[in-house]
Amino acid sequence: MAVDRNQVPSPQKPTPFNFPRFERFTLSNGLQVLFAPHHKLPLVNLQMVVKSSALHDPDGKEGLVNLLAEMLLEGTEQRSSRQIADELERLGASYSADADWNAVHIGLNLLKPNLDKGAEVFADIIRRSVFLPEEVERLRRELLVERLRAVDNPKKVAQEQFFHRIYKGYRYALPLEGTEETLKAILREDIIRFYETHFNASNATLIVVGDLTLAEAQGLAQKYFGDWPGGQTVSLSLLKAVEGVSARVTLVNKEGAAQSELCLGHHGVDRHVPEYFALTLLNQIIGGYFLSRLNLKLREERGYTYGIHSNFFFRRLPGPFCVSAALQSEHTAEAIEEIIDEIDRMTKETVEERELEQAKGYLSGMFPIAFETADQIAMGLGNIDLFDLPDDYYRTFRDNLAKVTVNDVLQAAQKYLKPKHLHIVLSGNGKILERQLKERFDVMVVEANGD
Amino acid sequence: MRLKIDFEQYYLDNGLRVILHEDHDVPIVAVNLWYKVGSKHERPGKTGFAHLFEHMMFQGSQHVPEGMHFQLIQSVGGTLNGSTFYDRTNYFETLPSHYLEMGLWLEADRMGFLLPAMTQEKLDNQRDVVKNERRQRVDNQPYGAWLEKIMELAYPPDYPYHWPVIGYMDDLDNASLEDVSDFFRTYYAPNNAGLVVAGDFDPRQAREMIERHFGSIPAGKPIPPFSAPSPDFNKGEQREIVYDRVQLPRIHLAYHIPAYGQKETYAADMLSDILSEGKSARLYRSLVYEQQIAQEAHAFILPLQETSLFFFVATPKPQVTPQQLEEALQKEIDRIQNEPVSAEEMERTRNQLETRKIRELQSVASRADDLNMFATYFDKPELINTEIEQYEDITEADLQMLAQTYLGNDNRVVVTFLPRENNNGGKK
Repeated sequence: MAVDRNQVPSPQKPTPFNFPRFERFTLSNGLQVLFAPHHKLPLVNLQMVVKSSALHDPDGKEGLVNLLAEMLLEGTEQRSSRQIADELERLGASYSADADWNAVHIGLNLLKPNLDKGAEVFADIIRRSVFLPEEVERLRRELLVERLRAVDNPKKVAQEQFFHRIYKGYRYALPLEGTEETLKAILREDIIRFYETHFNASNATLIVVGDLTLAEAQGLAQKYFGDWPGGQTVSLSLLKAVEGVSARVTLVNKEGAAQSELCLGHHGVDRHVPEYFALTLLNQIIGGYFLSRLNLKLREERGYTYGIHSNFFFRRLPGPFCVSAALQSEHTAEAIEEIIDEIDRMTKETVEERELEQAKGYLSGMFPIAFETADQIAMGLGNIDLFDLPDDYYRTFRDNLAKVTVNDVLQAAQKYLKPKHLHIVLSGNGKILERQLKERFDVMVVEANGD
Repeated sequence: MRLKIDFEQYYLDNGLRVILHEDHDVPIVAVNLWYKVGSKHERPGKTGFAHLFEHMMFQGSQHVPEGMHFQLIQSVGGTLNGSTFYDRTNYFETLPSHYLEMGLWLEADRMGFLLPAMTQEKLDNQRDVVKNERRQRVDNQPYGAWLEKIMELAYPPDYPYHWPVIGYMDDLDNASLEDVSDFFRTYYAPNNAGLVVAGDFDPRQAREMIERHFGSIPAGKPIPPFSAPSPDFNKGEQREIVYDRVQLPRIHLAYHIPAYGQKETYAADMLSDILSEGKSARLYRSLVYEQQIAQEAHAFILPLQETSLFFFVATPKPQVTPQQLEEALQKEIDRIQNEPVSAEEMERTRNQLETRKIRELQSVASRADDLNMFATYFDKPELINTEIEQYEDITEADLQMLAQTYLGNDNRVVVTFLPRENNNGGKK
């Protein structure tokens, strides 16, 4: 049986697949619940999304919401920090509580037979945390040590400097977890006040995915959150962005660094932007996957990096557009010029039809891989809730992607890419970088331990 | 609660092991290849080659033009990668299920017909990429050299775990096209590989496709037998201090333990969980939470085919010296040696292991990889279902015995990272 190896084998008939249908219901106290059954394995995944984020940190007390999220695991009216860990870990559960720029997320994943015991603790930490003074101080010290160590990590150094430069005057200018100064300014009373205002049934959504029936999910939500008081929903309109001002290139000198960590970009858009699909494809083409222009050029052609990525951070409020890479020191300036040229080219020429089809093929084709597991489905439901997407958003995702034309991509590029206004931050070896950069750019040099 | 993964195994005439695992829930299919070659098959002076070679496997083959391997897979929504380790190299892609045959064709072509597509230019390019990978992952990371340092001290220079998988920079410079040919001819043959297909497919069709694409690839010459001298235990402590651009010291203890698959290694894995899995585990509870002398503290094992290591890694708080933390850590090790762990700790750890096992096997890609690992290392793919039993038999006495036998000072390497003087960013 001879095979002609020169022929790429043809695909078979595709099997239809779509994002699962899910149920949405509201408890009498206003708590939204999104539920998708997933019976493949005896697992249940609970996610509570509290729709307040680090963007709500009070001025001068940045890091409060992150600290609050971590504190949720450190004691309630009925359970000490030790008991929370003991009880959940004895069930074999995995659990987490963290904050980002969109929300506070509390997650629990466990075997179905352990669900009742786990959900009891889950509800307790969300509803009855007490923020004991000694626990706050212990965690504050831990976070302060992490701030001290942030300078060790070259990628983090570049990112922090980048956000500091482009978002001056806005919450994004400081790290999610705050700085030494702001962490020290947070009082226990501030945390409690925030918790009392923002943690309520009206300002949260419960996501349930797993081996349950609708009736079981309803019973679970009602039992553990049915008497959680409602309260105010928290709006995001209080927040306004301020354009940052800075030198075009900021070099953070890290003596002896073996590579340059690059962060390059500018202000971006929020998740509700009408051109979302065009921008997603645009990003794919320039730096979103292995086949992107930047990766093929800087890795597969030049060998200057192990990998390069671009991203629009689509958040509830506008996040940045950035390109990041760890670049070989000797070729850093040259690589940056290539990146700027590629961004510029996106705004001047339509992409090739073939490139667009490839990017669409990737995003549509990987759809079933992206929603294989209960955890992935829970994340999809979380996105629908957080970003006010229509309930059929994922079910129509591929159709919307298919509609995008090369002209749509060009228009989106012209509207949202700013090749003339890119901010460029590098953390790397000044001895090797300074001269090559100064030959081409206006450069400001700061030390890694500076301001 | 136990997961049962059904599969069938057979061999092609050329020696290729094939394992099929059907699961029709989602229309995707995982194609997973393991080759029995890793960095342990390298020689001093040629380190990092198995990994560099792995990169070359993505550069096209006789019937797959340059750049097309990634393009064909990603443009239909597939995900793909490869990885190299001390004992093996693997290649894997997950595809929409109707593209199964394309995945098999791509894998077969690079298994049978790689060399005609190899050029000096491709090698030079991927050498640069790999050197940048090393800079990114090791040289430019805080404490980035920790594992490399430990392995260098734990094993003599000619022992095959002495050098890092990613290799040394100078050795990467030495790799030639001739090395690529030699390596391919020696190790990349159906009789040194295993193929797993997992997911949504018709097994009768899959068998035909596999025969069509892999069946005519000739078996290679017999694979040169690999042997490493059997390791000795308790041969004396090795200590080293490394100065790095970091704010805080970090201590690393590594104890020699037997090879993966031995009863002791499962006990070691369980013990590391008792010590380190979660906030109720001893290291966090004692060193981080109660005494507050560590910023973080972990225990874990590195299970390898020839011989393994049991690690402790801990970072002292700013006002604590590495010596103080090491003493406190030693007390925890003494305690494990001197008294049995509690029934509660055993129960917690068993529940964590059981749940983790189920959680890990949610995706067809991880099931395919696990089946191939157990087949490649032990010739027993059924371990995907039965390995958990190895943990069930472990008693408190086994754990104590393990600690007494292997967690002694004479059986370890200690590497302490300290901040450099005039540390950039280290104003104290």
